[in-house]
Amino acid sequence: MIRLAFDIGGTFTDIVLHDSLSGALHVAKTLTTPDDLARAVMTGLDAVLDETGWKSSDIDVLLHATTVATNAILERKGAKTALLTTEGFRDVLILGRQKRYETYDLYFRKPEPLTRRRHIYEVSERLDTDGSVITPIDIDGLDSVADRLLAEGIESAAIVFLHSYANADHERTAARHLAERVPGLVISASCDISPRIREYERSSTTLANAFVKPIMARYLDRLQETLGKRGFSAPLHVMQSNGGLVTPEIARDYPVRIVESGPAAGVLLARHIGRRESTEHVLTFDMGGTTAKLGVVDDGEPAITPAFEVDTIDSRRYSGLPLSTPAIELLEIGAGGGSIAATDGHTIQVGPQSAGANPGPICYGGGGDRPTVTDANLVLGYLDPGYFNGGAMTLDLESAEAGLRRTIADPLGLSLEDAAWGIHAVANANMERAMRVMSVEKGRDPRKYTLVAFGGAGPIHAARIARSLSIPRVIVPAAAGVGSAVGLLTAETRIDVTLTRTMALEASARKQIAAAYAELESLVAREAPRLGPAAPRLSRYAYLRQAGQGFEINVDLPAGPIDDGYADRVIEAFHATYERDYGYRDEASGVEAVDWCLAATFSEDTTGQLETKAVPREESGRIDGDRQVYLPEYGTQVSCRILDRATLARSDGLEGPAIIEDPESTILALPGDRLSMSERGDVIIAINARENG
Amino acid sequence: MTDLGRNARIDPITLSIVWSKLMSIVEEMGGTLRRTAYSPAPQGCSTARGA
Repeated sequence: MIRLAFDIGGTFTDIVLHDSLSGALHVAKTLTTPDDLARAVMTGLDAVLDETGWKSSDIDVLLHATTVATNAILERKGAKTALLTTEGFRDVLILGRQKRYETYDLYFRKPEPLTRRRHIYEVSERLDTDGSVITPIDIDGLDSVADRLLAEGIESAAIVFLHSYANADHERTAARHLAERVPGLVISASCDISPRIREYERSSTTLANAFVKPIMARYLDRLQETLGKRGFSAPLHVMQSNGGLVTPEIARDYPVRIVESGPAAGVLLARHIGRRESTEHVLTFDMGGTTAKLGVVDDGEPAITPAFEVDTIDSRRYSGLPLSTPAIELLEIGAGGGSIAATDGHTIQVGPQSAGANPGPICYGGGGDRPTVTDANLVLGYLDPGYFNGGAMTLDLESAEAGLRRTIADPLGLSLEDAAWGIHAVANANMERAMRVMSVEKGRDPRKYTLVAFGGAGPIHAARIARSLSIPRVIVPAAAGVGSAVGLLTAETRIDVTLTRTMALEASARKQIAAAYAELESLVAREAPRLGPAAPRLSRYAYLRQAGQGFEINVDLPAGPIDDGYADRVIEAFHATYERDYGYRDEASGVEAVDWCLAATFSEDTTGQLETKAVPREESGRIDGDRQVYLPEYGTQVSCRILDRATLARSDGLEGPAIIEDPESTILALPGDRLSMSERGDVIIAINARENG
Repeated sequence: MTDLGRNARIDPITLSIVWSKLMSIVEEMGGTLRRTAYSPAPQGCSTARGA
C-alpha cells in the first residue's frame, strides 16, 4: 500500500510517501506558499512521485495536516461572522474571563475577539440549568435578526444560547429559522460544536468554528479539486487536534477541531517512536521554522486536554482565545529556526516574531534582513551552507554573518561568535522554560522521560535542552525533519464527543450516567457512517472534581455495562487518578462530574500502521568529514566530526561532539554525549550527565 | 558586595540567560502556589504571576 502524508506548516510544507511493502519512506520539503497553500503541496507531491516513480493514481490514501484554520484565526482573516446569543448576555464574549496574563501591565490588551460587538445579536429565550424552558424562543425576534444579518452581509453565524448543552431545542430552532431566512448563511450551533458548560468558552469555541468554516470549505474544495486534476483518486483524511483523522466532510463541519492539526500529528510520531524504542514516557520537541511545539506522552498515550487556547501571547494562559475541544496537550512557543533575534542594547531577545518562509532567514537569500536562529546556527557551524534541506537550498553564510554583526554583535560589543552563541542560547533558554512548564510544573519528572526531537531545527537544539533539564536520553527518529507528516502515517480515525451533565456521584447516579452515555453513543452513531465502515472502539472518560472544587481532572472510566456498581467504579477511578496527579486521596470528600466524554476510534487497514525498514546501509553520497564548529565548552571553534546515519549505523557508537546530517535536519551531539543507532534506525543520544546543569 | 564600578560591563548573553532562569523560577513558584492554594484568589484569578 502506498500512502502519502502532507503537513502544511508556517514555513515548510512536508511530504512523506510510505510504501508498506518495502517499508521505505520518501520525503520532500518545500517552502510553504501562503497565497495558495495547495501550490506548495503539489510541488512537494510531484517531487516525491518523481523520485519514486509512482503515479498519482497508485496512491491508496492521502493524509493531511494543515495550519489553515489556525492561520485564519491568528491573522483574523476569517469570514464575516455574527454571534447570536441569549438576551442579556451580549457581552459575555467581550468581557471574557477576569484573568490577566500580565498583572502589572498598564497597557494590558485582552485577546481580540473574532467578531465585533455590533455583530453580536440577542434573541429573547431562556433555559434553566436543567434544560427546562423559562422563556420560549421569540420567533419574531429571530426574523428581525435574520434581516440584520442579510443587511450586514454576514457570511457565517454562531448560535450560542445559555444552557444549550442541557437542551438543544432553542439553538436548533434558531438554526433552522436562519437557514430558511438567510440563504447561503453558514451556521454553527454550540450544541453541535461544543455542548459543554461555561458560556464564555462555549461562545469562543463556536464563534471560532463559524469564523473559519467558510475558509476551510473553500480551502478543502480547492485542495480536493487540485488533487483530482492531478489524478489523485485516493480518499483524503484530515488530522484533528485530538490526534484523530476525519474525512474532509467532517473537517468542513467542525473546522475548530483541526486547529492544532500538524502539531498533534507530531506528538503521534513521538508516541510511535516511544513504543518502538520501548519507552512509555516521552517529552516531544518539535522545532520547525516558526515555532517549537512541546508535547507529552504518558504511559504510551499522548496527554489529552479538554480545552486549549489559540493565538496566545508568549504561550501564557488566558492570553488567547479558549477553544473547548479535546486536543493533544501541547505548548507552542515562538522559537523556531525563523525566529528573529533582536537586542534592546542590554540583552538578546529571540522571537516570537518569525521571518517565516517569506522573507525567511537572511541566509535563505529571500530578502530577509533580520538575523534568525537559523542564521545563528549557520554562523556557529551547526549547519552546512551547502547541504541545507538535503542540498535543495544553499545558505548564504556571508550575508548571515554581516546581518548578525550589524544587528546584534556591534550594538552589544560582542564578537560575531558570541552574538551567534547568544542567539542560540537564548532560544534554548526560551524552550527550556516552556519544557519546564510541560514537565516539572505538571508533576512530570524530566529524569524519567526521553526527549524525542524532530522538526527541521529540533535535533540541533535537543541535546542542550536535555542537559539543562536532566533528561537522560534523546531520540531522533528517521525523517525527523518531516516528523509531523510521518506522524500522520501512524494516526487512526477518531472523534471525541463530549456532553455536560453535572451531578454528584453517588450510587443513585447510575441512571444519569447511563443516559449521558446513551446520548454520546448516539452522537457517535450519527457521525460513524461518515467516518468509515468499521465499528468503532469506544473508550469513556470524564472530567470530575471533588465536591466544591473549581477545576476538574481528566479521568479514564472503566468500560463495561453501566450497572448498579458503576458509579462506585467511577468514584474509585477518580480517587486513583487524583492520587496519581496530586499524591494523596481524600475519600471522605464527595465527587462531582461535569463533562462526560466518549472517544470513538475507527481502525482501518489504510491508517494507523507504520512499519518502516531500518536505516539504509548504503552510502548517502555525503562524504564524512570535519567542520569548524563553535562550542562554548571549549570557548572557541573546534573541529567537529560530521557524518551521516549510514556511517553511525556501521559504527559501534561514538562520543560527541559530533554532527549527523540528515537531508531535512541536523543532529548535534555535545561533548561527552554518547551517540548510537538503534535497530530500528533511530539515533539515540545518551546525554553526558556530568555536564547537566 | 563588590562594587562593579561605573564602567563594569555585564555580559549580555549571561544577562539574558540569568533573566530567563529567574523568570522560570518565579513562574514555577507561582505554579506551585496556584496548584496548592485553597484560597480562590491565587487559584481562580491567576493574579499570582511572578509572585
